[in-house]
Parts: sequence; C-alpha cells; structure tokens
Amino acid sequence: MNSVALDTLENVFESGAWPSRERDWRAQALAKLQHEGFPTKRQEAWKYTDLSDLDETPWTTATVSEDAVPDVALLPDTDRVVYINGIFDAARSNLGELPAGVELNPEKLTAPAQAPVDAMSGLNIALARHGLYLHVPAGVALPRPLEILNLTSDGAGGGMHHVRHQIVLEQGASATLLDQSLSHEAAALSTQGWSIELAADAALNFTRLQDTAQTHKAVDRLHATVADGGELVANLLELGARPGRLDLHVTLDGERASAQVNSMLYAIGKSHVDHQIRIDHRAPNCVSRTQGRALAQDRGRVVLDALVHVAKGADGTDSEQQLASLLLTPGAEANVKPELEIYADDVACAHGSTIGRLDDDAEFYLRSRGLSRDEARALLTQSFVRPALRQIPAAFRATVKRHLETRLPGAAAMENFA
Amino acid sequence: MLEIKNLHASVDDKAILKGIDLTIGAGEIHAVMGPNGSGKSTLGGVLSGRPGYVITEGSVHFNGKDLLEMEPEERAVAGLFLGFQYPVEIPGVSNAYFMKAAVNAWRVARGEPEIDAMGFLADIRKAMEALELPTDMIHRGVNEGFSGGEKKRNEIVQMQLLKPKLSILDETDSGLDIDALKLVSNGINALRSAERSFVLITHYQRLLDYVQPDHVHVLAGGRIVRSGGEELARELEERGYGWVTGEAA
Ligand SMILES: Nc1ncnc2c1ncn2[C@@H]1O[C@H](COP(=O)(O)OP(=O)(O)OP(=O)(O)O)[C@@H](O)[C@H]1O
Ligand SMILES: [Mg+2]
Repeated sequence: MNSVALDTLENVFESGAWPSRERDWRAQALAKLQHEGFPTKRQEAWKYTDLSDLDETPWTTATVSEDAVPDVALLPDTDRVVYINGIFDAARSNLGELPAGVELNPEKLTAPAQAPVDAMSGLNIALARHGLYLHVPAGVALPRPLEILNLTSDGAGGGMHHVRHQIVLEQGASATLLDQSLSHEAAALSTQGWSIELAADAALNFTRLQDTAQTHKAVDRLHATVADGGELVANLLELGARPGRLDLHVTLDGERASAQVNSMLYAIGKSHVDHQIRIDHRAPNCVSRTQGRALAQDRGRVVLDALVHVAKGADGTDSEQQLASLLLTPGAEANVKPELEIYADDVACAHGSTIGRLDDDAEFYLRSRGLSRDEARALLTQSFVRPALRQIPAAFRATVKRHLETRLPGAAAMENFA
Repeated sequence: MLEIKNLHASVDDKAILKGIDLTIGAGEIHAVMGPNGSGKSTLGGVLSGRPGYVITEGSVHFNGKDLLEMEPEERAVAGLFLGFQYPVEIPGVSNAYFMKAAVNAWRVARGEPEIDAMGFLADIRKAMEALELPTDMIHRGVNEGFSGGEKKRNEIVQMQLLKPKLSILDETDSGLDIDALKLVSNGINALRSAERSFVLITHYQRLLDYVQPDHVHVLAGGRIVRSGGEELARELEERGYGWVTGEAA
C-alpha cells in the first residue's frame, strides 16, 4: 500500500516514548491500522464519507504551544477537563471537590477493553496519550455537570491528536457530561474514543457538541454498554468538520436497560457530518429511542445511518426510531438510512425516515403575519430539530443554542428553541 | 386605502385574475362573493404576496405605496392582514411565540417598543377568551390539531392582536357553527373604525347579516362582474350566481 500517511505514522509511533506496559496494545492497534489502511468508500460504513485523502498527508503529532485556542464560553458551576491538541491542560481545567470514592483522572489511559474495531479506532488507541478516566462508585451522583473540552489550537495545522476516555458508572450512580470539540481554522485531524459502562440502574446523560472548522477532520467513536435498568441518554450534535464523523455503538446488555439517542446533524458551507448509530438489544425488555434530525444547506452533506439490532432472546424489546432530514438549499445532500434487524419474538419496533424541505405554505403563513423570511425559516427549522434537542440538560442549553444560532439566520427566533 | 387597477394575475401561465378594478376607502367594508374557482382566494393571495403568482398587468396601491413591490412581511407590517381560507398548521412553533413575534414586528415597524411578555400574554388571553378558544391553546403549536372552526377563530384572534388597517378575510365564516359565527362577527365589528377597512370573501349572506357591508361585489371568471350594496348579497342568496355571471358572459 502506498501511503505517505502510514509511513510517517510508523515514525510518529516510534517517537512516542510510550510506557513499556502500554507498548503491546498500542502496537497491536497500530498494526490494525496498517493492515486495513485508512477507510475508503468501498467499505459500506464509509460509503458516503471519504477519508482517502488522509493517505496523502504526512501527519505529525500536533503539539501544544502558546498559539491561540478557540474561545469557549465557560459554563458556571461545572467541573471542566480541557484537552488541547490531545494533551490535558491543567491551567484551563477546573475541578471542584468530588464525593468520596469518585475517581477522576484526566491523564489516565487504561488498556482498551476490546481490540480496535476498525482502522480509525486503531489510530486512536495507538496514539492517544491522554484521556478522561472517570469512575463513579455505586449510588453516587456527580454533584455538577462535567465538561470535557477537546480543543485544537491554531498552530495544529497538518497535525493530528487523539484522546481516549473511559467512563464507568457503578450501580445506581449518575452523571451528566458535556463533550465539546472545537477548533479554529487549522487543518488538523482528531480522533476521540469513548468507552462507557453503565452498571445496573446507573444513569448517564451525555451531550456531544462537535463544531470544529471545515478544514478539520474529526473521527470519533463511542461504545457504551448498559446493564439492567441502566439509562443512557446521548445527545449528539454534529455541526462542523469535513468530515465530522461519530460511530456510536450502544449495547443494552441487561433487562430493562434503556438508551435514548438524539442525533442532530447540521452541515453548512462545505462541511460533511456523519453519524453511524447502532443499538444492540441483547437482553429482554429493553427500551431504545432514536431521534435523528439531519439538516443540510449550501454544499453541506449529512449522513445518518441508524441500526437497531434485536438479538435472539431479547423478547419484549421496545424500540422506536425516527429519522428525518431537511434540505435547506439546493445543492445540499442528505443520506439517511434507518435499519432494523430483529431476531427475537414479541417486540414492538417502529422506525421511519422522511426527507423534506421547509414547508412553503408554513413559511408564507408566518411571513404574512410580519415575520421576515429569515425569521420564518429559522422558526420552521427550529421546530424541525426540536425533537432531537429535548433531552439536552438545562445547564448546556445556552451553549448549544449559541452554536445553532450561528447557522440560522433570524437567530432571535431561537429564543425558545427547545 | 387600497386601489386595485386592471389587475391581471396568472399561475403557471394560466390566467386567473383578468382585470380587477376595486377601490376600498378607509373605514369601508366590502364583501366579495362569487362561484367556486372564480379567483377570490387568488385575489387575497396576490394582495398579501403569496409566492407563485405572476402579475401580468395592472397595479395595486396600499395607502399610496406600490403593494406589488413589497415582500409579504412588508405588506403585513404596513397594516395588511389576510385571514386564510385554510389556515396552516405549524407543529413545533407555539402560538404564543409566533404571535408575539408578529406583534413585535408590527410594533417595530411603527417605531414602537416591543411588547413585554406579560402584556402580550394578557392581550392574547383576552382575545382568545373573546372567541371562546381554550387559553391552553396559546402554548400549542400554531393551529396544531385545531378543528376547522377553531382555526378560523384563531385567525380572528390574530387579527385582534395585530389591529390591521386592511383585513382580507377569506371565507373566515365557512365552517363556523352559529355561535362561532356570532363571535367572529363580533370580533370584526369590534375592530371597525373610520380608519380600518375590511374585505370579506364569503359564500353566505349570514355573515353579512352580522357585519353590514358597504359594498358587495361578485367575482366571476377573474373579473368583478357586478357591484352593489347590501341588497345584492340578498339577491344572490335567493337567485344564485347564474343571472349575474350569465349577464357578464
Ligand atoms: N397554484 C395553482 N395552480 C393551478 N391553478 C390554480 C392555482 N391556484 C389557483 N388555481 C386555479 O385558479 C382558480 C381560482 O382559484 P381560487 O382559489 O382563487 O378560487 P376561489 O374563488 O377562492 O374559490 P373557492 O370559492 O372555492 O374558494 C381555480 O380554477 C383554481 O383551480
Ligand atoms: Mg377560495
């Protein structure tokens, strides 16, 4: 295989000075990448998202310097862990006192729970230096929302960076997380890997907001397993990058586990955003809900694949999937695909997808009452995306709103956006 | 107030309005009647700026301004209101939010400050109560799940809040029960003043029993084929359209 990138990655890896106990699994992960090469459009999962130009870039590791990092409006009353170019930044982080027994370590990487599932997760596992390790013991609720900021600095062009997080909530524990990926104009590549384990009756509300520049490539993956009675809410907002890609794989592993996945994608300008969502029902009486809202305008492109797989024996499964896309201007593209695979009995599964444009009659009705065209369109767009925004925790609403406003003309209309 | 001269309009190259002349003075009420498909809603659409029509000839002036040059929202805030024959359902946009935005657009255009939230809520409650609409509808989606009659009443609520100079009500009386017709008529009469004008597009004499028009026009085949006073409506009710449209042909 002729790949500038793979050749240079070898050197990047060798110069990593990895602790010897990590070398084995890192080398294995790199081997996975070298063996498979970067994904190409010939692979089903990458049909619409092209990473082939990764091959041509002699990637280096982005380093931390004094150059500018994106502005972040800091939330009051949260704990905050900040990574800049993949490296923990203690000065910008903010960690208050946590309940006894909570372990929060922003620089701890453990051996991955499973071998990399594809080339890009191989890259992530091989090269991630830092990441959040969070362990919440049984019955403990994190007292404040926890923010994770994954920032790319201005000088990171041509560089790449990686972080890998591991979250464990023991029985009955709960937490609220906000993960934000932001960059300026740097042409960089970042990967983020998440491994989330929810024990019985644990509850996690996880919000992801990816709004990096259109010169940025963000290729992230999140795996979550949910045990009996556990509840995962995932709010996934994919707003920037080219591509901005997230593979989410949730396994409902114990009875009455539930997952609510709210995916909102908005491609504007030349950005390209892609969610690949898979929910596995592996135990009886689990519940899953997927709300997908995909918006595209200008030359933007959105891809949303959502699969619900109900394994043999997962009887009493209750699953709903609702995907919708909206093309705001000619030239934009959306590829939305709901999928359902059922191998169990007595299941209630509903799924559907729609593709549409803004309703001209509704737009005229609003304008006929004095709202400007922009306001009318913003209001209608807002009502379209709202079902995917309902479960964003109050603490993050202003942040999410600010990111949406920059894309929607007539932003004042977003006042009551959810 | 409104001056329509020789107005021709078409949709997809099909001529629908074929030379309308109509002048509406301040404080006047005009009823426009006519058979199905004669162009009444098209006239309302053209006046309010609904996209899709091509004006092939003629002019419309609204208080001296060239109406046809204005965007729909500019016409609105200049004081023109269209009560829709088929009000649109917009799930996910709340009535309250929508109407507050509309009221503020009109206020800003008049150089007034925006209304405060409490004042607005009091106004919309009052208007809804007057039309006997349940006030919890304030927070529902615009017309979402409203019955046909409720949608029509909601148009009048909107008119009450905006206080237009010229209201064109396209069959607002269709689909109303007898009590609702009275409420709607009261709503119109309550706004009547020497400065406000109305165009009532209707098929029924009954509305005109409650809201006395100054002029009645018959639109047929895209033209006004006859104009008269109140008595013309009664005559149409008795005799149908054949005698006027036949006369014109
Ligand atoms: N968008 C359109 N495309 C094609 N034809 C149209 C369109 N809009 C209106 N027309 C035609 O124009 C004519 C006039 O329609 P309009 O709705 O103005 O009638 P109307 O007088 O309001 O009728 P009604 O009493 O049934 O409400 C009809 O023949 C109608 O089919
Ligand atoms: Mg009509």
